Amino acid sequence: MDVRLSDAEKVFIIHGVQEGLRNDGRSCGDYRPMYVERGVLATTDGSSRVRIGGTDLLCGVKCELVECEDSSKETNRLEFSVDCSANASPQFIGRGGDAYAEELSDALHFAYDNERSIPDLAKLTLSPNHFWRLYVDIVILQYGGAIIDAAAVAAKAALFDTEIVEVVTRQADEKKMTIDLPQGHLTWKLDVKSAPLISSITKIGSTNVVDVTLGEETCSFAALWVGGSVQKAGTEPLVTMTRQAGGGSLDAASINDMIQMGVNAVGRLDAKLMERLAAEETTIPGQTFLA
Amino acid sequence: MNVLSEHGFRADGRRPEQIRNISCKLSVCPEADGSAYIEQGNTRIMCAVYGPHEATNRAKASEEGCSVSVQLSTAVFATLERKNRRRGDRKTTALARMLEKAFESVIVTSLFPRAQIDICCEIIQEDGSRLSSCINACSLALADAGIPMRGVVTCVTCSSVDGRPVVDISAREEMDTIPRLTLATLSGHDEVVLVEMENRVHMDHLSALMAASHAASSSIHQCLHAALQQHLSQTRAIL
Repeated sequence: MDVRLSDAEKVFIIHGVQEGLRNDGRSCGDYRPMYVERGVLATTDGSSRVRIGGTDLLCGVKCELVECEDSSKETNRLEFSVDCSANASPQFIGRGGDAYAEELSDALHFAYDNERSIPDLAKLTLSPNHFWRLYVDIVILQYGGAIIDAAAVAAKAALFDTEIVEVVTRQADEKKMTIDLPQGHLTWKLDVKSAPLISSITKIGSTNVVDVTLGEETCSFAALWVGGSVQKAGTEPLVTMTRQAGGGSLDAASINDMIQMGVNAVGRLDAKLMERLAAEETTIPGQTFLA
Repeated sequence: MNVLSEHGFRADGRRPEQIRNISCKLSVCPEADGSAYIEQGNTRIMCAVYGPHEATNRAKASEEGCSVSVQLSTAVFATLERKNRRRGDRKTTALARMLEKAFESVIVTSLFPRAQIDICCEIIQEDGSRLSSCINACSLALADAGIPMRGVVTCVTCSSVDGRPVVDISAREEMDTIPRLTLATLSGHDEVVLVEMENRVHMDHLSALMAASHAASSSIHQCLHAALQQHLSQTRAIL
């Protein structure tokens, strides 16, 4: 995470980006090769591992049956948490990564916090006093830039992988309901086709860049996180979240271009990810995944 | 539930004196000075070592030698039950202190006065013998970082069932009432670095338990040693 570049190196990167050339041969709108695996953790209901360049993160989804007084008043069906492991960077030792982790989980929560992201969300409500809560937990094992992009991909892949137990509700005393397991172990899956992805658009010099490496990150002052949900395959994503990150300020005039670039990036990424998720068989439980 | 079946097998099909499968990989974190990933059965741990660097904790800096600080964190999805606390609870802190003490006695600390070594363990999946798997991961990571040690520490948690020692226990066998002995030895020999006992064991059974633990620790040492040798032969310095 701690990359130190001299001024000359920074100028080289900035000038290169302005010409549309980056050090690793990509153009400004290109992602690095991305590896997505799902079903990697045996202790979860759904999981994924995403790698982009040096970035490596794990995501696990756990379902919890919550009993409450009135399930229509409880809104948080999906709960996101991010943890920056100290293995990623010495800066994350102790409580060092907490602020950044919170920023990430907040952005994910915000991107998913609407009816259009997961249309099935109502199916998680089982009875007036029971509902499923899905905990989406992300651990950052290695930090190599584009964390929020990878986190959103991991969350979508893990939710795609998640199998929720089929239960039946029965009437019980005092107008309450009870939950029972039906014959046979049946599971169902959430429809996550329109779950949002997030693209971080970074301003380097006066150019907008997708998926920055650590070196490029040191040359930038501000970034915009754009969350987009693809409602129908092949159409332009619906923007569900925009958020400024990176500390610096952005000129209002340049924001529109950045959002447009983010929307395009999300659209392309989503098409590829859905293709990959549909094609891939899950990893066998118990198989080693970091070898 | 019985730990040993009537035919002398355990729940996962092992014999009492059999350790779990170990697979490991070194230098997994490019950011760290040394790192290792280890799988012992279904326990999966990633460990990174930073340092020796200048002590950040002034109070701990000493002219005599470097201090070792260990951080243990567990992923919230590591066990079947979801845990809300990732780090900093009492049990984890106690384990971290034990790791610190064990490694302070193994690392040749006098070479690095006023310095500090940070060890960070991330438990990705937990299936029993947490302390011993962490120690094994840490010693691989320290070896990868090239920190001078008196030897490679290996550790194993064993139990005694009706007087019969059962080595390298998994979470299923780690029940409340069962006695547990955690033993760390140096280079697979008899030199003991750490002993930790939970619950009570009959005195008559202790010597058999200790002997089995020594044997298991030395077989784990053989595995780790082979992994280190293999890693070194792949990454020979170009001189």
